[in-house]
Amino acid sequence: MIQHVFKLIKTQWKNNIWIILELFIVSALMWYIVDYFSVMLITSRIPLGFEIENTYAVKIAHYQSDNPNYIDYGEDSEEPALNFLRIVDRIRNHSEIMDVSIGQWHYPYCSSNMTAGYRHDSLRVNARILYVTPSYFEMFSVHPAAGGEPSLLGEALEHGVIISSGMEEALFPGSHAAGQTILTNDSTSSYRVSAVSVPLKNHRFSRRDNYIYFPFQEHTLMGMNEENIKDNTSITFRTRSGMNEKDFASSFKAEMNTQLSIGNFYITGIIPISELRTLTLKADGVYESVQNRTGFTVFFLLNVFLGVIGTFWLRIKKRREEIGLCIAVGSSRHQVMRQMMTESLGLLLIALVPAIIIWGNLILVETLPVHTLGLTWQRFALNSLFTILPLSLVIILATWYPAWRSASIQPAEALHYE
Amino acid sequence: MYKQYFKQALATLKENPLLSFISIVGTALAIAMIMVLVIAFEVRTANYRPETNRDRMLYATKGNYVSENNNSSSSNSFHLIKEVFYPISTAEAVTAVSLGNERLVSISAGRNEYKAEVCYTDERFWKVFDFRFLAGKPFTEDDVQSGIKKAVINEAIARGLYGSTYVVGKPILISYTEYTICGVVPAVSTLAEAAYAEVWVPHTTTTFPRNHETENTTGSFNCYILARSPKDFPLIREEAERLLIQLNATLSKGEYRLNGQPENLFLSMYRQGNMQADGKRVILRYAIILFILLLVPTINLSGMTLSRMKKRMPEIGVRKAFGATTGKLLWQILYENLILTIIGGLLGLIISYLAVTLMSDWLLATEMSNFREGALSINVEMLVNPKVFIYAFLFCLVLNLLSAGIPAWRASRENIVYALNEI
Repeated sequence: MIQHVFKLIKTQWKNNIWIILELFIVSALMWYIVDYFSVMLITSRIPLGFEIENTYAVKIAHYQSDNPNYIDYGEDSEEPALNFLRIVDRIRNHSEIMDVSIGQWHYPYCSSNMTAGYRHDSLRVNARILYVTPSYFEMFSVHPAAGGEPSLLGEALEHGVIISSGMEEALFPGSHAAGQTILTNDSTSSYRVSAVSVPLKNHRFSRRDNYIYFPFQEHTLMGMNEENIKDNTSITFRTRSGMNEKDFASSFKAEMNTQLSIGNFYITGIIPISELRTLTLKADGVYESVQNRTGFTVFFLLNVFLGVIGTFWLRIKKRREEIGLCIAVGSSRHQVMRQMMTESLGLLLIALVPAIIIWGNLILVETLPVHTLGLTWQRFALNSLFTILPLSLVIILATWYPAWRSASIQPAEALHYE
Repeated sequence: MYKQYFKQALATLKENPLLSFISIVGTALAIAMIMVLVIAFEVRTANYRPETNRDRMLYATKGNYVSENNNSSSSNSFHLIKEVFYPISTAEAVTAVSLGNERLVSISAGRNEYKAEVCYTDERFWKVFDFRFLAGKPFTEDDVQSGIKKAVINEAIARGLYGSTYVVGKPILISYTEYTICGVVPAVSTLAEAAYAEVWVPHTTTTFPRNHETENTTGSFNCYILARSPKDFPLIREEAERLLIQLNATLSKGEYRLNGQPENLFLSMYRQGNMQADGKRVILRYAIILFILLLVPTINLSGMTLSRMKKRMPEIGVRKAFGATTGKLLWQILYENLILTIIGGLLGLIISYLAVTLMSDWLLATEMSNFREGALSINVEMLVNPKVFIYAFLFCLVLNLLSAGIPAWRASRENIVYALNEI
């Protein structure tokens, strides 16, 4: 049967060349376009390392000096810092709230971050710095790499810094970091690593990143003015589970608005961290890429659909007699349809030969971005699957109507033309 | 004669409805995809209110301070704009705009509060951008000089706070500081990135922190320069460079770099931090995408036109036998095909307008608009633009030439004997 089909394709080479050319170009391009989806799928299966259910970030602001409500505490006063800590306390005392954490740009999907270089012996690595309080680990469910409860990391924070397991691998390949000392790149400071956390990622579709946790010390706030406190600290909290995040955020804000206006500080918003996730994904171009690539893929598939349906429509008109004869001598209608389908898939098979050469070249000339994921065999397999599967489906769908029409030819009528 | 061609084209169309349908839909799809790209580009670059003068504007939004142990990239400080851009004499107007300031606005504290994006700017802002005032008027130079707390607000905020737009002279609390409303303007689409805000106030009504590490050169201000004509761009740039040298002479530790700014909107859109965009590269990228969008449907359409031509070979043979020249036949086939293409093109343009209107957040979103509270609204003035129609027609012509070119060329050169043989 297959041999027969290829013979058919060969004899109609002139009619087939256009559709083969189209299938070739589309499969070559699609393979490149769907690569982004393959990378997304593979990276999304690597655990994030944290959870954000029922967590919120608190946005604060403060009165300017020209505001009638402004209280002038004078320079170097500890009062602004104490007011800030009072806000934290009042949030903590709210009945729905399980824990509160303060830190510096520390929460997941935060739009600002700090990075710095660290080294051990000759090995160097860049890591994202997070200043956190011990409750951070429980709040975001960050577990120790060796297993156990998040609270173990909270306790370990009192005895040194905590690094993520990716950073451990980079600085201490094949051994353990706990108890060892790391240096900043310029060797001016050294830190004792007290524990190692699970690997962490910035968001679901990014690669694993290096994190280093420093204990956040409240006394460093003392003497800062409102502007500096606002710029350098953030408050996050977690509620009991089972609450609608949007509703809770607005009702909490309404309920606590006056209570949380202390000194020159006031609250401008309570934002569920899941909302910040959307913004992070947008800022990272994930939404845009998915939209663009989906658009192009659909466009190509629609074109293939139109091309295949057109080609086969013309074909059955030409081969009416031949098909009629087949049916007259005993081919079932089912067989006729199957032959047409095999023929169209045969065209795809032929088009895939040069397309695979193009795929190979895309790899060789390093066109595929390797920032988030290296060139693994899963990636190629998925790219090929995401190209061939939809194309085959669309081709089958497009051949179906002309094939059905050809199979319903009345043999007597068809032979009449002969 | 063209009327005859037209009739013939329609007759061919009716003869094989399925194939005609496929050709038209194929064309419509290609034109729709291309026009969505064109419209998305146009709404970011075309002139419409309040950014009526985009074609004669220059942008300086990213600054770069470099010293021995500091390399900071950020927007400009007001001080820098005052020294380097305000004095430019060739420009019609220069404005400094501090963006990204989300503030709570209300009438009385704690009740009916809105988050609004507040723009701190100067009086020249109203000259660079072309706002239609629903009520009141903008704040003046004197207001800015003396830091008078006046505010221009958009219609949505006015209605939200007071239920009407007759609010001039009434108070508004911005971050719990009282301002007087002096004007009301229609809401600005987030697509007008430079002019966008919900509330506009004189920049002198608040204090912006000085960045001592960069010797007060970086801050949160963007600078927009309105030139009398795009021809003045090089002169303005030269003047800015000269003024920058003067400013750098006053810095003790480092220097400030403009990295090619002020630049036009196109380069500003694709700027990456301190790197000026490579305009040619951006254009090449667009060209490749457009080429692919045209190539794939072209192959489809070519195949179908070819088979249509084959059927008409006897007719062509007869025309030739009676003296029609190759050129004449070529022209006829292209013309007939153009009718098909234009039907598809019109359909495509309609689809693209529908898509853009129904899925504007999807298709037109920009990096900035994602982070703004306001709506990404679109209006007729933005979309119905003669340029869009010209582009649509041009792409139809190209698509036609590509998809009918080879079949027409082959059909018109076919040997007359073979052609007649097929009768």
